Amino acid sequence: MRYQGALLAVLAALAVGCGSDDSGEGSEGSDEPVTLTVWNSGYFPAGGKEVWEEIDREFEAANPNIEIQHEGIPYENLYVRLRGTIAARRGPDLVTLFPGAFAGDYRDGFAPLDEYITDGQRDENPLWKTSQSPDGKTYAVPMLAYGYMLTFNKAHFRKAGLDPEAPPTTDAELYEACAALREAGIEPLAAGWRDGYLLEWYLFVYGGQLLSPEDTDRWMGLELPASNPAFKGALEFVAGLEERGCFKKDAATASLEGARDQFAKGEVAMALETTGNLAMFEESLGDDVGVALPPRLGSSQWPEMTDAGANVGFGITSWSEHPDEAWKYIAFAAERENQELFAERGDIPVNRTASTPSDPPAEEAMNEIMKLPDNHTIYTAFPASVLIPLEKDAPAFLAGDMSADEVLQRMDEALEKAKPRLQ
Amino acid sequence: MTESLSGARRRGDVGYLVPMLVLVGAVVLVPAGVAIFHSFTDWRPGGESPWVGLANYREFLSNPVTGEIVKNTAVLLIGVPLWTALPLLLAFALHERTRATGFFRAVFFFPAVLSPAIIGIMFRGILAPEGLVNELLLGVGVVGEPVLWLDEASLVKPTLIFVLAWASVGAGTILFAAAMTSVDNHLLEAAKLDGANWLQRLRYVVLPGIASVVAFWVVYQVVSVFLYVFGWIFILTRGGPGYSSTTLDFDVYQNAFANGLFGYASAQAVCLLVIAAIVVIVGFPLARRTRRA
Repeated sequence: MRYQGALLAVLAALAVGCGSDDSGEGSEGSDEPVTLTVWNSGYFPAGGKEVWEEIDREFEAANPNIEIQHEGIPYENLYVRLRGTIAARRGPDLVTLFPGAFAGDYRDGFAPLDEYITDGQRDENPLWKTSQSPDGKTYAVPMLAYGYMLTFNKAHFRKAGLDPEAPPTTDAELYEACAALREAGIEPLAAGWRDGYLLEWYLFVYGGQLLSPEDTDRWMGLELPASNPAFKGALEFVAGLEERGCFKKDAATASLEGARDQFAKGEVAMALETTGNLAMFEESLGDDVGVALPPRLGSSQWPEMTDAGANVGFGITSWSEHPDEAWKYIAFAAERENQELFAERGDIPVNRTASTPSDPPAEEAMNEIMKLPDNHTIYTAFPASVLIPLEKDAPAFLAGDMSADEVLQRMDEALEKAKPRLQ
Repeated sequence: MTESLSGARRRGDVGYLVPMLVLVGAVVLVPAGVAIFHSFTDWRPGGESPWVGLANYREFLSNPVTGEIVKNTAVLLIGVPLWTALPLLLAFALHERTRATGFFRAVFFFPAVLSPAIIGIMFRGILAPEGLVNELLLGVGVVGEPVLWLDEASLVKPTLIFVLAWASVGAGTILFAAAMTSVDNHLLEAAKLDGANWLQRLRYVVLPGIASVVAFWVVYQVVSVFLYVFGWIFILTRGGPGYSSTTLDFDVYQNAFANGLFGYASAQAVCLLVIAAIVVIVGFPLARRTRRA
């Protein structure tokens, strides 16, 4: 009889343990206490944690019954954890997610937000109008905007005899600058291929330049294969930069973060960078940091543009017991005053009514780049599962062990598998 | 009376087994059954999972990455002789009245108490371009520039073999050292008197006496290549560069949790289960036969 009691105790303990749920406590209703759990890949000092902390404080003050449990999860771990969380149907209420096809790849775990978005919010946040996934639903709305730019170190330019106020604007000028810098003993371009993210950036920028407007629309509708001439041209441009010695040597083991640090520490003269990192560069390099449009390829289909658009945002999980409160938090973070908090640290707000600083000159140059009428992004059409083969093949591609055709073919295979699941 | 006592004792014994059986069922058998079922579906947890029959298996067999995984596994299996010989030699050295035997046993066993995550993080630093190994090699002039031990496709697998040798030497040494205590010391003395050197004593006296243990260890190492290298690959290489160090267990994880292809990953996991089962079903009886021989 004793062992039967022990058995029942074990089974009861298992039942209690399996019954726990961390997707928020409290019951529905405006006055009932609610806890919203947020998984945020940007909740770190480099990603604006202090801004999120202030937003959380303000939100909780305005909504005394809602507590925010904000957790920072590194980008490289977040989406793997998310798969498991979706399979388990339990976890946070809000998760940072890139809109478009990326979010569509995880749509089984997220609720469509279209019914929540008001006309006024669409007007204030134009990028919310174009954040749908291939099935036409919006699973994530961006909290920030971004754009790619060429950052350059004016001190290195001066040392190499280059005009620090005239950065390269074309591929030919870029090659010349690389040669001059190398001759002066300066590593020209930041590089880090280990995680493959930097190669993705080059593909977005230069694939975007080489895709015609018509083909851009086809790509955004997933009607164009990845193995198209524009993407091949973009990858071959990067391989060409490597062959010409434009990239920092011994970059095979560096990651995207490593490339960013190379520029921040003054180890290289130029970097393809995102607007979100400018504040960090200004802190470390001061007035020596310059910002310019990424050099235009001769065969670019656009007169002047960069890849720019919706940055990461939030999605509400489909198992959240408090979707209304979760949407309230998203809407609060997108309000002008809170968006200006991000702008103060150098980020690009998604709310068009938020003002952006015009000091120092690099910030002003960045804001001007972001206003170019032809700016658009192609990255939101890449499902997460299509980017993974590109990330894995990046080191071999840059080492010359794989051709652009081989890399793109693997991406196409992943795209064919992903399409039926996205539409 | 005796029968009822015996029956009561058997029921009691079964009763003590029930919690363990429930746990094994819940943690091992039920998930395995779910995975086997879903290997025939386009499994989308949280969404619809349509039946696809053998499509996942056909794709696994035709996927070029599978070919790379087979090559990678074949190369890693080349490490089995090293992972066996090294602890064997160390165990025999300890057995032959080395000084401070206890101290050396503790030192050699140290890797066995560390998790793959800790060892992996340690070796990532040691093998980095600016790490200890490259510093030594550059310092003595063996190489002119840092060697990319974990980031060069041609070097990553041999590097993994050596890391796994370091990690497994402790457990193997303890196992073989314990087995060697069953070897009659008089035989070793007699061999010494007959002029047998150290290696000859190991080969002709010790090995025959511990053959079944060695065979067991070899089978265990082969199974480990299929089932237990995930931690190392995840920490050290993430299957890269490219797919040059991807193993089947790592690819299961990649396809399930990175790519969201749970059905395909389940089919891979079932194939892995079958391979491991074949190795165990064939290997361990062979190992037992060495004892009878």
